[in-house]
Amino acid sequence: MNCEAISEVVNIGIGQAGDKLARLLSCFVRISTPRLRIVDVDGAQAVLAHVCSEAQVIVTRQAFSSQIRGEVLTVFDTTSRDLVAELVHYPTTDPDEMILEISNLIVATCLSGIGAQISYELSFSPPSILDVVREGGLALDRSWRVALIAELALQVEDRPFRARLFMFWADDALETFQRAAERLFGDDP
Amino acid sequence: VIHADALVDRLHAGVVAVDRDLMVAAWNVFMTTHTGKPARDVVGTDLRLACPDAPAEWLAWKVRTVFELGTQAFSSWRQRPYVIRMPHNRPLTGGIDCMRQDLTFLPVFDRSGAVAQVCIVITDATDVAMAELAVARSHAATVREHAAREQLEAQLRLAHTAAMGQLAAGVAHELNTPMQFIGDSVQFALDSATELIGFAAKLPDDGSAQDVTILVDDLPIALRRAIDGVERVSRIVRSLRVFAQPQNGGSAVVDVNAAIENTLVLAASEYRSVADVALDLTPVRQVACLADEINVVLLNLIVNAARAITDAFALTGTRGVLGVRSRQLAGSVEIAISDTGAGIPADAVERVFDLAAAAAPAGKPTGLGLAMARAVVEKHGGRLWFETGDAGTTFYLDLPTSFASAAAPA
Repeated sequence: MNCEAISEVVNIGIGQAGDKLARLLSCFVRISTPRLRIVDVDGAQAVLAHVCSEAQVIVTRQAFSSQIRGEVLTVFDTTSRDLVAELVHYPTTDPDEMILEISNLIVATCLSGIGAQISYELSFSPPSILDVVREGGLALDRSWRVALIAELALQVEDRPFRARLFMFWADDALETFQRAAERLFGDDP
Repeated sequence: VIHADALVDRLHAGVVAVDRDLMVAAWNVFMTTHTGKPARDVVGTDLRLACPDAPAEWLAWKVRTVFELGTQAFSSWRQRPYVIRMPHNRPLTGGIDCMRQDLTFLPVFDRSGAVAQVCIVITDATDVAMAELAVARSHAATVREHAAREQLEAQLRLAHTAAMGQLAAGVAHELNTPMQFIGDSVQFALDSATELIGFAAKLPDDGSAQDVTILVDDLPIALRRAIDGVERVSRIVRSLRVFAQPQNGGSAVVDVNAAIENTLVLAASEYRSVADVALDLTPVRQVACLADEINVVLLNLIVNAARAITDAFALTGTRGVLGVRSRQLAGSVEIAISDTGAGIPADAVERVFDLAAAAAPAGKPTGLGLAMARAVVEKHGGRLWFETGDAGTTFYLDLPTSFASAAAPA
């Protein structure tokens, strides 16, 4: 599968998302060029299980719906969690509420940015924290065949804050995404 | 045609619309019935004034993010039980103080695609919250029951150890008398045989001298071996009596070195075939303690060391060394019991003194786990700790010599 068109859409979408986040947080936000992988279930397990099994990480999940529906995992290390409070002026003392807030801000902005490129308005589920440690690792759904995982890292200037996003589209949603992206950037007319 | 506002009023969810300055633009029937404030009083006023108990700064941040990013924001009852306090819907069945709420902040776009308003949807999460609470309570109860059962089992093990101790003391007492007269009788037999051999030498030789010579050579040897055996059994019986002497709950003055030697005699079967004992006992002051409990602690440590060496012996075939050392410190006696086993694995080091780890493998009862050993030592105002590495493990037992005064506050 050729991901060039999707890659283009994702790049532009998150570029705009980075600008929006920077304005909201009043600091420079850098988002890495996404790394795209086409995977089957075992491939996804290999990519994600490794990340989620690292010590000292907090993982949140969030779903987005529309014809290009999918799910996002956001991975923070604990250092970053402790830094969120000074980054986001969100009035809470609950560390979980804080991490869910920053997670939603990043995910919703990035995905909305991507959706906007191909004229899909996305709707989101509330984010939740995945207790990967207590559940003994990440167990994936196995009812899909092929998927795209787009991985990107978000960093904030002058601070060691770092979040990694793993955006996931499978089967039909991936095909729809691919068609929509190719309409914009495909070689074929 | 039903107007959309009428549908919003039928929802079992609160719907509030606010502008950038948090001025209320819409307030559905659910909001009115659950806050007692009609729409006409609220619409056109600041949401923070309409709901003075709600977190003002927090609401302002949420609304601001939706305006700036044009995306949804959320709040869950798990982190924030409620935002605008409302009565729950269980006036009859109860069980909770007020409604648990999940909130969604939705951007409402104008024709140009800019965010014009934020629509706040408040959904009732009380039933979910109560179900989770019930699961959590039931889990906590299970954990408590489990802990209570473990404690009971530990007490039963301790009671069993005490009962075995009494039994052993009884058996030792019963064996003492017969062992004494067996010893006396065999000694008498040896003396008599020696005399008879003297007489036999004076008898005329009738050709059976060959047979007599064998008897003369072997009989004293056999009898001496019997005396040696009797002495060894007597020693074990004596050790057992000292070890298992019944206590009446009070502390006694104990010679730690003698206690160590007794325990080594009793545990000999555990180490004799795999280890040599390196004994380094220096004179120490007597310790006032519950002798039977401390004896069991020593037995546990020695048996544990012996088993570590046995495991290593099974792999290498080399005999190990079981080291026992005692020395007098300023206010206490320190006993070190070391083995030349493979050391305690890193992942088990944390759990050595756990009660759960006290469960001995089947067929290898230690009577008392290290958890209980530590509890006993700490009850005596002492300390029990260990050092472990590839070359083996050393357990240190520190018993204060002034226990009697320290432990008699009652």
